[in-house]
Amino acid sequence: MKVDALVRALPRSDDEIRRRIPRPLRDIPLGSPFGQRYVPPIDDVHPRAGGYDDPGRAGEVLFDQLGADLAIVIPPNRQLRTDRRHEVAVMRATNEWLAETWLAGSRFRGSIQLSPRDVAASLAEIERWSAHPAFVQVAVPLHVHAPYGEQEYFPLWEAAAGHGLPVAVHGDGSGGAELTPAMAGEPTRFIEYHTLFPLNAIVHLVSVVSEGVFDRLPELVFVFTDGAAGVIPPFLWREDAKARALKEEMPWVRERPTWYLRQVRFVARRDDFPREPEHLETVRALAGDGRSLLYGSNFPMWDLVDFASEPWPPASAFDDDFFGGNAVATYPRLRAG
Amino acid sequence: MREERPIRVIDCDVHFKPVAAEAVTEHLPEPWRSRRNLHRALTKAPVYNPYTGAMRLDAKPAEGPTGSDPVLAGRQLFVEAGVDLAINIPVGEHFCPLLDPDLNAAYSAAVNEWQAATWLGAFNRHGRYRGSISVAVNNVPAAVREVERWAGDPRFVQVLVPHHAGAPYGSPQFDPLWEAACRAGLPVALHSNVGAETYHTPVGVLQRYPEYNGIGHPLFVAHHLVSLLTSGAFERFPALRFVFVEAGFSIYAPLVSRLDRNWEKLGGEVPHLRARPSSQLRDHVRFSSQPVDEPEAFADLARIWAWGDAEHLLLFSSDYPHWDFDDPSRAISPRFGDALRQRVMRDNARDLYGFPARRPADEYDA
Repeated sequence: MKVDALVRALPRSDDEIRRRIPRPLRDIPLGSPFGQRYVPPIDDVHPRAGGYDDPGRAGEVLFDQLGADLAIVIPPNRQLRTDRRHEVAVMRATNEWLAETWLAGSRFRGSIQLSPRDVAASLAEIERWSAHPAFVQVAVPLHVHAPYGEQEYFPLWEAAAGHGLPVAVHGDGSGGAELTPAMAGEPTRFIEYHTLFPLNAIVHLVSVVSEGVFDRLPELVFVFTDGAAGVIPPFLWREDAKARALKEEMPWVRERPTWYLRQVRFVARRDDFPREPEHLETVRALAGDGRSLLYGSNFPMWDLVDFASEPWPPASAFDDDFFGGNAVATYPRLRAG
Repeated sequence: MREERPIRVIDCDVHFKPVAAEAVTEHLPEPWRSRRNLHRALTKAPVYNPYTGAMRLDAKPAEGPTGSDPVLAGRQLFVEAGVDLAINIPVGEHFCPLLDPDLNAAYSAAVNEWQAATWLGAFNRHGRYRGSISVAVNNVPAAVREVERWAGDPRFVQVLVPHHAGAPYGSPQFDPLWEAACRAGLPVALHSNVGAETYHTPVGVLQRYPEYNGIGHPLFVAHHLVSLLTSGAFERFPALRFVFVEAGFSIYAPLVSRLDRNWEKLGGEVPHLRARPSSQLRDHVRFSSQPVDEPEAFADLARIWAWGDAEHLLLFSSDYPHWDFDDPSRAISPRFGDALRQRVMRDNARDLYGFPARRPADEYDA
């Protein structure tokens, strides 16, 4: 079975979301789902992805042309909203919209969008949708006010793990009050932004490991959808050395930090595939011999992973586990049929 | 003729301290010297620190702070560790960047005069120490003057900038500083510092030293590196060299590979870039070695070092006298082979800084 683990479900217009939001919050504009501060110098949408906002036409590309059997969709998170009530309203409306549109067919699987600034409302959202068989993960934004190891979030991870839902961490800058996404100040160009923002996954990962979240929830899985699959594992080596030397500071962490990569997956993105075959092999080797890598097209965006029309890398560089087996192993609900 | 010794080990990152704050501030002119609370800003306790402190316990002299005693430092570096040359990088307590751009410029000048008088002067009769020109990156015109002031002094071998400058270093506001460094023939070394920076990451605040220390500084360096590569700084200044100190090495090859791949699609945004970003690394960028990563499998480190061209881009550093000091005899695994080890321990630094092949024999050789 071939699973596309990253498809962006985009509404045809914001009215599809806003009409599901009660007044007066309905009147607040949501902003471009493609982001507003960092805009690419090329079309946001890939030339192959015409009709991307129609689930039927998207399915023709994803299933008929790109050959997926199932596709996991993530809606734009529109976070961070400065108004918390609005953020929660957008979250609820987005999940309703996703369930009624993209998840109405048989081959799309969905993400329960959460608003981590409101844990109680997000927990209610997990309970509301967890019985819906097409939701296979929860989704939280990459950019948030505090890293995901913090105690305040723990009930979310406990609920997600309890329902067999991996946690997708997804950065999309989709129209909210975007936080400064890189360490040394504002990135000045899109290429700088796009290359750097996925590195923030290491902060969440180190936080989750260091606060003992993976120790407390050994069945929990985090899926980082923004790639940097070749950067994050060697980044974590630095933590191994610190954690061993300074064990008394975090005695509750039972294993070396890199041990917990078995509870982590990366959607491999177009920029994660080096041009040189030997370096491509290194990325694969460091990602748990490929077991941590999930295939995801990132349809319909400009950096679509397009093995059919791009010359590199060839699909033959990857095995069935990459294209589906790893996803089936990661998502309990894909195994339930 | 004086007896000579071959230079085998060049240590690109050591940290010396004044005996007391006044040893530096005596070089600071008025009205700054008498400014109230100056010492408090300069002795800011690090926000992240190991519970047991950040220093080697055996490097504490009988009197004065760790790193302030030239006799102990000389014995530990030159005799016990076998270092031939060591580059001082003034960061941390007494060397914090200051937010006031005028005070910061004046204090940076005092730091350089203190280095020239002590570790590059009275403590340096053997000539094994080199220094770094501390500059105020929040006051670029003054920083340029400071580089020019020391440019002819061979004891200063690089320009030192902190990791936090409010903007990534590819931004045009820093161009005059890079131009001055190039005119002086000096590389620019970036080392983390405490004081003027913030501690939140783009996704919030981490809790403890082992978490922040491993990733905070490399996240800054990743940003500066990508900014320098995409802004075309190395094309505007073909002589510009950057040394990223104590920021790790393993993540940068896969990071810049991602930048290459994005450049294929997004190159129209940076039409000044004539070649793919990774092609600039070998001519313009170096990394210091400490702390060497320790993955479970040596093969993983070997793969990443091969990808990152450690043989040409990596410079040995010990980080003396900090707790996680890397001993030159063990830091670079013998499994990397003699050719790579010799380049990392000596040749790469010699090529970058123009150091000689030999040095005069001195009392530490006895």
